[in-house]
Amino acid sequence: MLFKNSLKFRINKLVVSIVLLISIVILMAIWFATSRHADTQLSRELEVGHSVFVNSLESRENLLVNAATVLTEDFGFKQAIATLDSATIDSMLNNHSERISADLMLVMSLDAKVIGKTDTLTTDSGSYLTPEIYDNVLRDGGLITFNLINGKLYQSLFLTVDAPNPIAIAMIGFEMDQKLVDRFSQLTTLDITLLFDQEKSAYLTTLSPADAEIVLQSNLPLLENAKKFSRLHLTTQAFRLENYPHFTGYVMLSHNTDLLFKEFYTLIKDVAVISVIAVFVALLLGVGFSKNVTKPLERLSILAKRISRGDYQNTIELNTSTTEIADLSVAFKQMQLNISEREKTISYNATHDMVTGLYNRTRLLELVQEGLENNGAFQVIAIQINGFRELNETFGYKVGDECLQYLAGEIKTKGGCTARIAGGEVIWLPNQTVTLENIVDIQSEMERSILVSQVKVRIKLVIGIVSVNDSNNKNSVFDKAEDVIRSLSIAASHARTKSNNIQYYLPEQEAAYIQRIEVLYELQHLLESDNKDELAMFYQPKLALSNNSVDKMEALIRWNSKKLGFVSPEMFIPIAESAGIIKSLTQWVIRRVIRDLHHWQLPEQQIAINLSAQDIVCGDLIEYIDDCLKEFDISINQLSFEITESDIMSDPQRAIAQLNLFVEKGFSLAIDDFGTGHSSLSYIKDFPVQTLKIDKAFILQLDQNEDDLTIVKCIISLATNFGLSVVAEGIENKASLEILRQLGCQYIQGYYISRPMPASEVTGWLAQYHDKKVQE
Amino acid sequence: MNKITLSLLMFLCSLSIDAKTLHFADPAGTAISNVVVKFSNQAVDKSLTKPVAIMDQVDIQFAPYVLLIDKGQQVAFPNRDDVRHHVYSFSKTKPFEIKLYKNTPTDPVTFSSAGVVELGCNIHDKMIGYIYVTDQANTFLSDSEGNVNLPESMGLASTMEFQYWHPRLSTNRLEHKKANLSDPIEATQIITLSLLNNDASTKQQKRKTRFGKTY
Repeated sequence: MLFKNSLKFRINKLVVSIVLLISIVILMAIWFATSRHADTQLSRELEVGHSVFVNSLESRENLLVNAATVLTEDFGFKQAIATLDSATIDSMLNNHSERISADLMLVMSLDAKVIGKTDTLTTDSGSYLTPEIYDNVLRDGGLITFNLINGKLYQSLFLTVDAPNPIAIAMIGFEMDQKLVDRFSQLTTLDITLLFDQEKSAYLTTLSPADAEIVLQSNLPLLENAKKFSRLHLTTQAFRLENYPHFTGYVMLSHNTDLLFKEFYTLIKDVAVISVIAVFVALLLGVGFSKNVTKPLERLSILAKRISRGDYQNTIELNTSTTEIADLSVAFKQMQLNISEREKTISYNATHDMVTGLYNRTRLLELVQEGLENNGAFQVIAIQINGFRELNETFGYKVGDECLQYLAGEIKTKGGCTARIAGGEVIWLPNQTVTLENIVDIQSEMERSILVSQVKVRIKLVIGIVSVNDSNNKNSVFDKAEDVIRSLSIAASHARTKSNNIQYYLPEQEAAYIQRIEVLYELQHLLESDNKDELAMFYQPKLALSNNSVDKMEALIRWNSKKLGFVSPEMFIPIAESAGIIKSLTQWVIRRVIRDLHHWQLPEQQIAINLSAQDIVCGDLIEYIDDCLKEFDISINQLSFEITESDIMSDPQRAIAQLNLFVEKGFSLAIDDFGTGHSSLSYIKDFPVQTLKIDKAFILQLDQNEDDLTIVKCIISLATNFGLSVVAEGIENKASLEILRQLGCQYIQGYYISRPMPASEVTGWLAQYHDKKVQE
Repeated sequence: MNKITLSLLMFLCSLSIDAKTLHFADPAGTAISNVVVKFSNQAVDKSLTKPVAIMDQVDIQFAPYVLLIDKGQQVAFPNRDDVRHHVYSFSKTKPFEIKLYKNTPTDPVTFSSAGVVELGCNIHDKMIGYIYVTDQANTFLSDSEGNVNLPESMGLASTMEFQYWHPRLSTNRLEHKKANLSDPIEATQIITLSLLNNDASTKQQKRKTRFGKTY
């Protein structure tokens, strides 16, 4: 099957088919021409044979007539007949018939009575003289015809015996015998069959008796056109013997077609032999030609297989004169080259980062894995551009990319391997161990203003370091490259919080990381379950300095996990935010606070709830708050909200737009942790808030720290100028309280007033505080 | 049509000719000469000595074609050709043979029985002649016009029977036909007869061309 489909086989098949076809066409042409020629020749030879036969009959007649005439004109003969001497006549006839070699002789009177006859005849022989013959003989003086006598055919001559007018009629017969037809057959090379009557009862033939029988079975009129007897190799045609009165006989001439076609068969044999030779020659040429074509193709197919295996180096030299094959070969080589180049690009892209051209995550993991398998000590250092996201958002990704490219270029010059996983981070695997001093040098060397896209950017770097297989550190053994990279992320994220922004990886960090994972898992579980008893709301009072009354409180969430123990909101809130589950947490808080307000029945109290940036942008939160308020029949002005300054500043315009919706609804808003969030002062006037909450970092040591005092003074002055009230939190002593009172701060909050308390204690505490204030 | 023409002819003849005439013609109207007409009302007078009749041979032919003689009359056969002749007869009336001769042979031949004698020449097949030997006085031969004039003296009577003969009237050349004079006797009585077309000369020709065969 495979061989049948091969080009070699097909070419050879085509060549052989063409040769065979031509041979067959030639043979057919020869066949048609020859058979036509043979037919013509055949019918001509039969015609000629017929003519020859007729002519030879005629010349025989001439001889017979001449001989007979000499006899009948003999005076003695006439005299004998005239005398009617029967015995004399008989003896004379016997004598004369011998003289002219006639086979029979008969003399009849004009009234058809036998006067005399040879011994070969019987007395009733007068019947041969039919009236028609009689008339014709007397009219014409004689007549020639054939007579069948005793099963033998005689060429009969009727002549008048004139003395001088006819006195009798003589009949002289010459037998048509086998010798005659044999001689004729020799003369014409045809077989002859003389048929004496239409019943075919008597005949003479040179054919074999068997052949003659078959030929004679044919219908006579049909035989008058030449008929082929293929089995006998004969063609036979019958000719009627005409001009013989009272006789219907045929001469049938048979030609041996074998003789005629002998040359033709030789010719066919020759052509067949030539065809076979031509087929062989064509096969040889075809094999040569197909080799010429298929050899290069086979080699090209080997080349293609090599390419498919990924071997792009070895080429195959083809010596072919066929231009198409040569073109194909060139195309193959070009393809080999192109595929090789493209694969290089693909494999480069597979192992390299598109932006920096450094190795990518895949390659990095491989490199680290190789390092782990070698068991040698090495370092993995993450160098991050601090605030890369903001950089991108502020100046566009192009600037961010260019900064990265700058960083990558700088690190490359330090040697070792460099890679980038994502974000504004480059990972460096130095060839030699670098000390902390080296790192600091590198950091300070690279932290500078760079000009990218006509923008001058000052970049700050955060560096995390993981030492692997450090002989001094038993915790520096890792199993998997992924573990190294994760440790590096942990170190880098810790570095962010360090003053010098450099952090070596420590296993404790790993624990914190694991704790975050646990917290997230537990929190998710808790929020999904119906029983949220582990969560609780605590409330911390705010003291109004104007009249020392408490009419505002901040709601603070507490989580006392059965598994993890007490979890600080500072820990789980960011986790909830980053995990995207802060919304359900906030909703729980809002509902719980409103429910507590309902229980307390303290219409003078206003509770502030902390919202995250994600809460603000969540469009349906106001609706949810509204529903809860209606459910517990609580007034809008009993709720207020606090948003940290840094949350607003992450997307100020959007935050302002959302906050405006809260204000429109009638809620009071405050900026939390003011002073730490790098607020642009220009924004403050746009913030739709009524209150600023000064970060407790400025308040805790207010009575001891001059700088803090200055800042607080400024903030209060600023707030006053913008018509905002100020809340200071983190008051822990009376001194700080007094300072703030003097500075004109409206509210204070802190342990000095009260620690946050559970909802159940609020009414009690308020009553107690009120009593105390009255006593004072 | 023929009948009308015939009656018209007869009418014309009866007007113009007084003598009694027999006219012999073939169906086409061509006159036939050498017809022998014999009335059997009066035998030949044997007592009368008849002159020797002459059958000439001129231009390799017998002349006349038919010679009419009386029974017992002698015939001489003078040869006026340059070649010799061998005159013979196988007829029963008078078989005889005069072998090769020139000029006049020695003796004339006497024909003592009545009948037809066919004459041939063994050398020249086409030479054929006839001698009619009659035993009746009133025997006549038609002339080149086909006419036989009957003399009043022979005693003509209507419905009188007569015989006529011609070499080509029958195959054996011997047979006669009978007829009667018309009633009333007409001046010219026309007798129509068909002759056989087996003339010796044409037969010779046929034999040469193999009996009319066309090859």
